[in-house]
Amino acid sequence: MGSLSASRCPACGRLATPPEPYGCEGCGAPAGTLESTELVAAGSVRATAMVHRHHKPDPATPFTVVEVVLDGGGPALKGVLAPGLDPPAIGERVSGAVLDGRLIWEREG
Amino acid sequence: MGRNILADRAVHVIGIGLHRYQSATDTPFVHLGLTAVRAALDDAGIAWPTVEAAFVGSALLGMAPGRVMLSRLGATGLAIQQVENASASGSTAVALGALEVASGRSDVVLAMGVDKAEGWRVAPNSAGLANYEGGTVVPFTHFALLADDYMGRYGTTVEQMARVALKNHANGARNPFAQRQKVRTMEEILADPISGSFTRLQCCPVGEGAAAVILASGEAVARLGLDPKRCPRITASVTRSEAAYPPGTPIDATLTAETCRLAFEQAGVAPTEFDVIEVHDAFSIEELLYLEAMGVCGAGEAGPLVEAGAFDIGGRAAVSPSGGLLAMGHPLGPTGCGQVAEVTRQLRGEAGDRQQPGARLGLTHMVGIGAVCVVHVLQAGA
Repeated sequence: MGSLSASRCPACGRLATPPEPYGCEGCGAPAGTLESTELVAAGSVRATAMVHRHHKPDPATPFTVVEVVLDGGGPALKGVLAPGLDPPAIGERVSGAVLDGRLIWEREG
Repeated sequence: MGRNILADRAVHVIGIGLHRYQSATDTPFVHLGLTAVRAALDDAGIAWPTVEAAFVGSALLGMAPGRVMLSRLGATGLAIQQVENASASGSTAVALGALEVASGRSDVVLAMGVDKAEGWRVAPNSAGLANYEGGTVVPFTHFALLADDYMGRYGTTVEQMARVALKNHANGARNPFAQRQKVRTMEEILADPISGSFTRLQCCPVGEGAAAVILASGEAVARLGLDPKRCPRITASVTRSEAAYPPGTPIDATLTAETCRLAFEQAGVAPTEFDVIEVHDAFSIEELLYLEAMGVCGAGEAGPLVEAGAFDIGGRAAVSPSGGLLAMGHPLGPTGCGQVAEVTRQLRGEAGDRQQPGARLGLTHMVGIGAVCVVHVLQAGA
């Protein structure tokens, strides 16, 4: 199970991952005031979509995009389901890891 | 909120014109745009020098498309401004045109959109902001995820969602300016998967075209001797952008709900009163999401209602009678102006075989990358 580097605004509590580089969308606090933190890449599936058409060869189609509500709060995160897996159901538990800048989800456990 | 200047000084639509939306060709944008503007001038029955200011919406043409085009109607020296607001560029041109007239600075104004689907440059992609998606989540997948979430939440079926496209393709088949003018079967709608539950015909085509609307003050309508019945009034014009909603908030629907609520307050109308609604249906699910966000119907009700024909021409409200983005097409710059043109046609009772009977109140709604949302309310001329 991977962790995701994130930022937390001490003024309003808003989380951002990857860390916010400019300023807090919640309250406008400058980036320099934001605290570094980490989020665990685990949560429950909000939605999935199997993609049949893509404008680039990578990833090869079909692939499945999974949107996940993280256990630790913050924005719902979209990533790609690990190749060869059947799409998870809504509400199913998944965990993820970042590989070459892309978040890859798979079923927990 | 500041003063509602649309209540202080009436703004009317006096002329509409279009160049058909179509797949990419070698036709220069100047030809597309001039076709629409000349048609709008003819429709209004006014001469070009009457127009005091022009707002030209486009997202992809690059800098300065306005004067090189409009000067070919006679270079009168009018004020020309370029407007870029992603998919809402044309709507924003209308919003700025309405403001120009309502403020009293001008009496007669052109708001138009013209575009060609080439040379995409999207600033958020070069904003120095990282994400974990690695380019895998393009707009159709963003909305396919929303569709999956929505259908799971309310039990809406794939067929109910596809009914949006079935209806809008049937409407587009009756619109000579639509890019897609073909009645489709449910089998055709459900063929050719793209992403999630979306198929090719549930995703809008992005091509080229132009749309123009001419706006004028009430004084100008009288001075120019125009028929007030053909000049619907813009009673609300609201632009908003996505706020920092709490985590878990449905962003697209919330932005639309907030923008529409402000517009309905400005116009003094309720969402259930609309006869005609042109909605940002770039993907079929959006029509269901936004009708509910607007308050036209309750949460989870839009699927069964579209299936029952409630949003057909002749139903409780005609939704996307032009064919919408799904069938009329979405050439970016023109789209929002084209919506205002369609609602104007409907409120005049001049929409021919796609006329919503007794149409008196109309709504136009666009969202754009950012996200931004632009809404107008139009009332039939008296």
